[in-house]
Amino acid sequence: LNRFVALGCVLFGTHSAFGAENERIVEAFNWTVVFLMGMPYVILAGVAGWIFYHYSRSRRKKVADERGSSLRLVKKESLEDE
Amino acid sequence: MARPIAARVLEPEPIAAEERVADFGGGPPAPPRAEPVIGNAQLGVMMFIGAEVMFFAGLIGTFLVLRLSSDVWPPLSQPRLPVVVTGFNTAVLLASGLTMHAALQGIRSNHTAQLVKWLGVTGLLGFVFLAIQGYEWVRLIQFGLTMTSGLYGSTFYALIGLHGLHVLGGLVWVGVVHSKARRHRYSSGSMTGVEVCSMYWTFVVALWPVLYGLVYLY
Repeated sequence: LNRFVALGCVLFGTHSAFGAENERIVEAFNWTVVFLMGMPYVILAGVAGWIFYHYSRSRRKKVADERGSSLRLVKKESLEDE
Repeated sequence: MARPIAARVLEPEPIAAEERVADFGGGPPAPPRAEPVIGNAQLGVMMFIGAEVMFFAGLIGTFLVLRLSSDVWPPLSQPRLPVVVTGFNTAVLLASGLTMHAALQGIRSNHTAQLVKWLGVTGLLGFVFLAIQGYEWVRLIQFGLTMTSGLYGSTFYALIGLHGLHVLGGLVWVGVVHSKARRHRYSSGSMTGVEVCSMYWTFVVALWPVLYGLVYLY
């Protein structure tokens, strides 16, 4: 039963199906499984980086806008004083 | 004579801004709603691109199994792929990514003419890419590489063909955005359509060097 259940696992399944004489195929499957397992994490990292980039850009823009408006106010007040 | 009294009662008294309270529950008026950093459309397209990445990861996985388990690749009886022409084509597609970025910068600074110009160049470069791919395919089919000629042919046409379909879809999208931009439908305050189109095109462009490296060079 254990063997039957373990065949559901790709790594064990390929080893059982192809055996030691087909080590190349087994290795190909193993690398592909690693690649496919890593992809969701790559996507997650990409989306998180993208959100972080937009968030920090929007903060920089907000700070720049606030600085610009206060500078304009100071300039206006100094012109009024003159 | 009761008419002026009724009019006076119905007319609300002016209230100073600092004395205004919310209609329900009292308290001070709600602060203005902050604009979200990322819009719903951008988030939706990002999720769609995530699904597309997994779709292509599955196809690349299939290719990797076949490629890594083969002693000789490409198989001896199959024609070799045109590496140099496709390398030039890669440069064309990468250039279209740059022109799309220029278009986005144009509308960010509210220059519709710049948006229209660079979107047009992007569409043209995308069309050139597809035309060269189509020409290559015709030659490969003439040399005997078809979907049914073996695993090599089927994986090649599945991977490259599906990417080509995505470029075609992106090209249609760029065309629609270009047509709307010509009618001045976008501005620096309203450019979601351009942004999501640019996101999709960037994905299509960024995917190609990966496929080129795997299928043509590896």
